[in-house]
Amino acid sequence: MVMSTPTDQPWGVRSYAALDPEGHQWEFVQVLTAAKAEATG
Amino acid sequence: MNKNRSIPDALVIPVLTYPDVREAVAWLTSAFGFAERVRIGENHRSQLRFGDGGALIVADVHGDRRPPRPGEVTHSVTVRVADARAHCGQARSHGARIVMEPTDFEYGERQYTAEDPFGHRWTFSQTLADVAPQEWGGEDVSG
Repeated sequence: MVMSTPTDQPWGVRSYAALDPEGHQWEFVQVLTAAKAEATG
Repeated sequence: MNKNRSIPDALVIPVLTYPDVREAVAWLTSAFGFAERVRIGENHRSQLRFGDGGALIVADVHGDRRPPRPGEVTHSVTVRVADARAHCGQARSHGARIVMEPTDFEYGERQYTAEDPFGHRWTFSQTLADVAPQEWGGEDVSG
């Protein structure tokens, strides 16, 4: 069961949440933009 | 895969619910060896890392998110470590309940299982040997 449809978040990801048939909750996340290499940490 | 400093690099990230995020983070870092990387709000969420590739999100109780209930195990998290016995000693000294002492298994892993003070179940696994799944009754279906 999809709990929330894919939504762009201000922290740079597109995510949605779903419940599997056994009741575990999952969130799937797509990173939308690449961080600058020199700023990674 | 794009990189985003606001989310851990790991591809699978457990999200565990704790009644007090700050207390949980303090315990998980000192007892299990996690390191905090991003703090979100005073007591809302925290991202932790473990070694080079491990990641965990500690989440507060909110909406339908609930911490574990006594007498139930709905999930556990397995974490690979370099020395399971030493890790177990560290965890025990911080009050972890050791559910299974470090045990060598035929599949090449030395593992112990612990419950943290908040009810979450963990297995820590040290690799002793590279063993084919067929040698102990497993089946490699990866193709």
